[in-house]
Amino acid sequence: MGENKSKAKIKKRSQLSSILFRFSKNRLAVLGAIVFLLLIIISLSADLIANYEEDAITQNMKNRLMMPHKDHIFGTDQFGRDIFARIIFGARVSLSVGLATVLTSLIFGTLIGSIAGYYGGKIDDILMRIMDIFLAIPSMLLAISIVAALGSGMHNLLIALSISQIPRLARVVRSSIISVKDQEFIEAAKACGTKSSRIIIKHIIPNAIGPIIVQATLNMASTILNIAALSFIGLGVQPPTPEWGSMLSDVKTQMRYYPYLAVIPGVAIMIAVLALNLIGDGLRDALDPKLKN
Amino acid sequence: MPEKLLEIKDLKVVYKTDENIVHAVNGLNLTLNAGEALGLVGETGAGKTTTALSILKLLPEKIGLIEDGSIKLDNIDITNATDADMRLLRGNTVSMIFQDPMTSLNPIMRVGEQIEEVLLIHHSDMDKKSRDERVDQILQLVGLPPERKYEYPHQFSGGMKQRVVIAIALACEPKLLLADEPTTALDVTIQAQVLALIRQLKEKLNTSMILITHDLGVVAQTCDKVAVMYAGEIIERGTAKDIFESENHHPYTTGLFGSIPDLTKSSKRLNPIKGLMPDPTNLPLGCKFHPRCSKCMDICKTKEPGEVEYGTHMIKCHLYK
Repeated sequence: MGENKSKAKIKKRSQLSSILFRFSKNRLAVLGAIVFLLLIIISLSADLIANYEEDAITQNMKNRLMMPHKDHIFGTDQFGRDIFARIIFGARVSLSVGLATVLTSLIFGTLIGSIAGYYGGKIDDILMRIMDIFLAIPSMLLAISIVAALGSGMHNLLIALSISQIPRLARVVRSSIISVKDQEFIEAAKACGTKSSRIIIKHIIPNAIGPIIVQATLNMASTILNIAALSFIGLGVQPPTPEWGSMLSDVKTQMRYYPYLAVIPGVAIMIAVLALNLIGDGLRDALDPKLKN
Repeated sequence: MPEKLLEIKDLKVVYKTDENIVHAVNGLNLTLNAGEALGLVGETGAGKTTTALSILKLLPEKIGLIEDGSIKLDNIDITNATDADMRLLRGNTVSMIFQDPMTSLNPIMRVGEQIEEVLLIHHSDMDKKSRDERVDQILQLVGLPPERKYEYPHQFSGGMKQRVVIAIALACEPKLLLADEPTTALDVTIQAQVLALIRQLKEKLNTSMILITHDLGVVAQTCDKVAVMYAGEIIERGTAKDIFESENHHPYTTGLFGSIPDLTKSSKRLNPIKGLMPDPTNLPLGCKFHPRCSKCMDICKTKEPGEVEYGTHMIKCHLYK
């Protein structure tokens, strides 16, 4: 009986749960995950906390530039809009565009990078030279020119940021695939009759995923910064839609006398980026079962 | 008449690099019947592993090339088989045990999953439950407790990893097992266990085997037939009895036996074969062993010896006619 029980226990811990278990041992990463989850929950339930039209969009000159107090815990901006409401609705934009960008670039980057890394030779040359062309243009400049060509707006922002992220990610994927593919267990898998696609998906990518995940979470952090930056120069999300970067941009002239107007969205950006970086670190360790403790 | 499982005829394999051409296998002939075990013996670089990889058609891409000759496995022409055909054979009809168990397992997959994977590929009709049962059964067969299938390779010792590798190789009950120095990385007691295991499984499943090794003791214990390789060709071949008991030998084989310590004799020194294997990019004319041979004659330097057969025993040397 007892033996059976312990057997069942061992079996129960699936791949995913053992990764979660290792992740949960890293306190900073858990803190990052909690903060990030909170951000997601807040942005999802923003409508319950505040009214989008009334608090975040409508100008109310009576209340302009109020210091934080009990009715407006983060104060109000130069148009009398509640900053707290704008922050939580802004989180929606940053997180959804950030997440979508990372997923898109992750899918295409992994596809391109793993094909280039696994097959090598001419395919590798062609794909990587195309990536090199994109890498030769500074990613911010590339994003700016894509947005300028397609017009500003959320979808175009997503496309522009994804395209500027793909080459970097593809390079990371390719190099980590190359470091794995010549190991003997890949040869052993081939000797068992495993198909190339299965070898890539089941054997190579899981072994190479560490750097890819870390790069992806760091990309998400830098994407949030890029959205803010593009909005700051007026190419991202258009006013009056609340977004952290455009909030910073809006208060350029008031910053000197009302510093909290800039500090609050700045801190929001910082918290989101920091949380993502901590998660990235934790995931890298959790994905490697060989790591002691 | 026993069924012919593997027939290699005049196999020539080269490795083409930018600088030069390495002649790894030069005209190798080999036949193996169902249920037989062949020991492929020779020095490092004699072309043993290359021969095994040619059978699997897993020579390094773009570099390794089967230049000439044919390999027939289970009546299938390997040399002309497509990649898709080969995938059906690998792991199912022929499987391989690699030299180093430390690196031939995927470090982030549970060992059970790795055994299951072969079943998944070749027996897609099996359901999860019968696959699980088969994994337990095969683990027990190689002497590992089935509970340990949930563990990762780094939680196993070297000998246990090699058992897992053997379990993977045998999961589909292949007709031919290529064992590339399966015991080199193991200690002597485990080596004896693993060999006994391989022998026992071979008899149980009627698997043929090619055992690649430089340990003549291992061959004597395990194999029915022996082939001695030198510089990419088989220079002597015969039953275990021919090789271990007969008086007539190729000078190289004599040299190999002279290099083994013998507990029953009281010689002070071993007699190793002098010199090194010839450079495979620049092989000598005539008999490839002549620069190291103590019985070298004039004819050896110019003319390649033919295969001389005495029943089951073949020697490729000018000393025998």
